[in-house]
Amino acid sequence: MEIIKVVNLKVVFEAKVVLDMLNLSVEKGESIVLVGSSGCGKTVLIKTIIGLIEPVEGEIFINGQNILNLPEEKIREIRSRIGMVFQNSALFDSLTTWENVGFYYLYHTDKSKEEIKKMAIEVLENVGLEGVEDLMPEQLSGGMKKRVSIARALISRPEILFYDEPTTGLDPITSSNITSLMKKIHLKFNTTDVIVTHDIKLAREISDRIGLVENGKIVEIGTFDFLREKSNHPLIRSFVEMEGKNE
Amino acid sequence: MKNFIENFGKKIVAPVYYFGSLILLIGNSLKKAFTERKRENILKHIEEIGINSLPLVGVIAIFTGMILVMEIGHTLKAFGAETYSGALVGLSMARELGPVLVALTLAGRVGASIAAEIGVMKITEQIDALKVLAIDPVSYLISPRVIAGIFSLPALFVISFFLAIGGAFLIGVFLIKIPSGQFLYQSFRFISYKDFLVGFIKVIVFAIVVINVSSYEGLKAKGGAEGVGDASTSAVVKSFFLIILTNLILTGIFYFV
Repeated sequence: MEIIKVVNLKVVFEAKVVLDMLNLSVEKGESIVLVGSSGCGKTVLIKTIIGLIEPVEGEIFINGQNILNLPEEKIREIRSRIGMVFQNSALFDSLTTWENVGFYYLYHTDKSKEEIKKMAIEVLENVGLEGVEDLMPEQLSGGMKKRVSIARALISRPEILFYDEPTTGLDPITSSNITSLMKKIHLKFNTTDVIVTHDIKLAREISDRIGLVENGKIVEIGTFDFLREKSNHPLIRSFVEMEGKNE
Repeated sequence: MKNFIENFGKKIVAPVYYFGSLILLIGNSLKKAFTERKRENILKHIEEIGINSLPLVGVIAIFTGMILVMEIGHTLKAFGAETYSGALVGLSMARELGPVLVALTLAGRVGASIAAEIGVMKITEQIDALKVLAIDPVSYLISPRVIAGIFSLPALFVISFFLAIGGAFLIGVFLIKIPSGQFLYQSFRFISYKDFLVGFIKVIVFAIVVINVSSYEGLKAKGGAEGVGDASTSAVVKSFFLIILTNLILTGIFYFV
């Protein structure tokens, strides 16, 4: 079953076409990785899908509903079933770790703070963090911030998780730990994952399919093995060679 | 020629776009100020906008009162009318100077900080994170500050009025030698309820303008640290301009229409 469908999506920034009649379809429970050179439109694509950027043309369906024609309240309702892990974690500086994680419930519900803190601690444990709930974001390392960001995305039990460069700026060991965590979450919570990355190791380990974005379009898409065997695209070839060297 | 026309067009459209967007933001923030159910941030913002501004507003008000009476009293003394110094200080602080000084202090102290805070949140994707959590940034960041400003500025205005009279009293009585009873009597003699009402309306309008202008500049911030710096500067400059412009319009409406 198709959970995300993007049809002829076009995004323009100050006369520059960033996404050019892009099409994409993601199945429920699938893990799709988008790769491509910097500035090719990968992040713009996921931000457009979740409604942070307005396209000039095209349609975006989430669970069969075209989100571009919906009123703001409906879009917010759909967003409550979506989680996003931002490139720089985007934790709220003025809130503690548990408040960051439980912010969705602190804002939208009348649950008590104690109850929400308990929920946040539980989700933090799920991402491998213990005893950090009262720390402020500036007291956390890059890898810990990323985990908190994942916990914040997870707390509302989303159906779809978007990751924007989840391993960028992390050392190889932390990066590998985050990749394992993403795999674990995908299996445990049965989420549909859309991941933007430059990290070919992560792409290979976690993806059901890999899409190559170039000049605002998805020019190649398929499983890692399919692309390795069939694709002649220079970027895919260089990714495959890089991965070969890593092995 | 095409470039010239394009650039000229952009220069015309930019301010229209700016004012249009600002008016929409003001409408949106006011609407959400009265409909939003989460109000826990308001006390924090009242502390920031009102209580923390009090020392600076107070000192500026005292000094302004002193300066006014030095200038006015000295001039009026030549005509033997120095006892009216207090009346001029009282009237100008209630109708014009008081509201404007409070608003300019707010723009310089709080406006820059709002623009910087929201600008950093924009650049570090915290604003996007709010939206993904189904939280409207206007409801969460701007409306509570607007409410805090609407409560804080009238209080600051009243305090600054009395402190300015106090500063003027010290100079008038001890330096210019105006009898203290006469000075106080004249200070309040010509002020009507309307003058105070207009002062209140002005500070409330200024609070709404300054907080929305500063928030808007923060929400528009781009790039890195430089973008945040530009947003802060722009917030202060545009707030100053709009305070003076709004004051002109309100004075015209209340005293000349």
